[in-house]
Amino acid sequence: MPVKCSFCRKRYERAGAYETHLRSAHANLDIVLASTIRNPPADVLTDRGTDLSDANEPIEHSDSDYESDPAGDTAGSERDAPDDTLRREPETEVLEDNTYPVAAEQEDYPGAGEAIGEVKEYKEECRDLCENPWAPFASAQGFKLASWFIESKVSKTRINDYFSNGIGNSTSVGYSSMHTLENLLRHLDPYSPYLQWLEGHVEDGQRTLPFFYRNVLDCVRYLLRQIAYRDDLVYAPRREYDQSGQRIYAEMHTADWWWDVQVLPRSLFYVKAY
Amino acid sequence: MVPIIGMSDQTNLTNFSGDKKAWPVYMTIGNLPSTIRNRPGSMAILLLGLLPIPPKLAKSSRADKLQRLINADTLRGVFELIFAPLNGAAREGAPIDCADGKIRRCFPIMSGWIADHMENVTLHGIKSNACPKCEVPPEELGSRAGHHRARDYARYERYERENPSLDSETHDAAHARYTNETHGIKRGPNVFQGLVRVSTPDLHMPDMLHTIYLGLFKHMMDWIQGFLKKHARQQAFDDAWKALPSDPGFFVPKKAYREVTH
Repeated sequence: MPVKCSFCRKRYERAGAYETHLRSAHANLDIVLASTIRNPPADVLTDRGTDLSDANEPIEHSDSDYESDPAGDTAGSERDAPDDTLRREPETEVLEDNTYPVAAEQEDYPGAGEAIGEVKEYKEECRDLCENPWAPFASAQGFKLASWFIESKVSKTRINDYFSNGIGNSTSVGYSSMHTLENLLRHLDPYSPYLQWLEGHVEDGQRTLPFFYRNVLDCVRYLLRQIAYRDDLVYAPRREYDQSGQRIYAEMHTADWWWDVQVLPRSLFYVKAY
Repeated sequence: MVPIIGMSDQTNLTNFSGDKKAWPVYMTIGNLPSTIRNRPGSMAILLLGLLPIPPKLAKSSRADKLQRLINADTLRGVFELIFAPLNGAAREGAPIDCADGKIRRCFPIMSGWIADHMENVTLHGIKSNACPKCEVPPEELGSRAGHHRARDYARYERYERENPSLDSETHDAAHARYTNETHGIKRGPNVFQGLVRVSTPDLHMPDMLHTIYLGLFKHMMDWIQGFLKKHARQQAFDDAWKALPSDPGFFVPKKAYREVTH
């Protein structure tokens, strides 16, 4: 829900934009200063404040144009965050706000996270993803209809009704019943066999209790194999330092534990022994 | 290396279906940055298992004590089964296909277990007033008095194994019982014991939501309320509290702090 600025009529969707606005447009208000204590020191603040307010100027106007119109509000907030579909907004914002320092120098653990081979048919898989983003569905319409069915939790019988009553056109979407839709859904996640459930039984002296679990190693395989995570996965520990040479601790791989436990490839053990 | 982060919590399902409980165990990996893995839409946290819930027991009769032991062993057995695939891979590494099309030799190692304190108590087999990380006696908790040795769960377990009988009167048994008693060890093994390349006391992570944030905030507010009461300024504080401006992601209080139950 967008928040209305307490001092004027502009509306903001995200905390970062709102703070920038407060800092630039209402900088003379004492209460604003009190609420921005956690922000960078004054010299950095004025520099950044002017920078960002320049960049945000047109956006703010578009926001205030639509202030009382609900439909306009959403349009304004969409313009406010054009990259939201990429979902990387929060991180870039944190970097801009400079709430934690960016590493000036970094040291990688030698030899850690090295590749030992190539995944077969990986290139084909990526190419297929690019060439036909709607696969395994025949068309965009087929995909959208299916995701609408699933997200609005339409029951299986109702989906079957949808096709058998002739409301929907099965030729254009590529499936004609819940059964064929389920087959397609199975193709959607090719690694789902990794997530198979296993059944175990334990005895507690009186009765045998069943319980269900998954193979941990397969769960790891599943997560590491997700192409969606390709740009975010970290394979090796790293030590990060800021300009003055101070160590920065941020994500898990920049802390000590991973570095200490990291296992070297066997060939490197001998190198290290010298 | 693939650091595995586990999570578990017993949950009451009373609201859904009578007197039922569920005990889900989740896992994710530390290779994903925390911003990605903690985002609900990224699907990075997998349900690893649903554990059996031992039946609730009335206060301790002798038969129940035995049942408690059996339950603890059962729990241990379940976790051993779930973690079994890890040990070989953690020792030797396993080739795993990665998202960038490369194969890497991966060492999946349990790195942390996120749970609230009562959950840790169950999993580590300690008493509810004991610390899962070190051997600080309960009465010294929070006093900052001295440094205490990290817990050595292997030792407790050895003591227990070597002295299986609860009531034997030999010197060794008495000593073992005394040690485990003073260190706040309930009978029953620690479920994480025996994992390759894992130091059991290090698995315990501070419970941010329950202990750190909530605890600190409540403590601070109690102090402030007391202070304001002493100086008869409560009304001024309530006015300021209610006048807080709105901010994205921040819920504006409509009532005074002391009028709300927490």
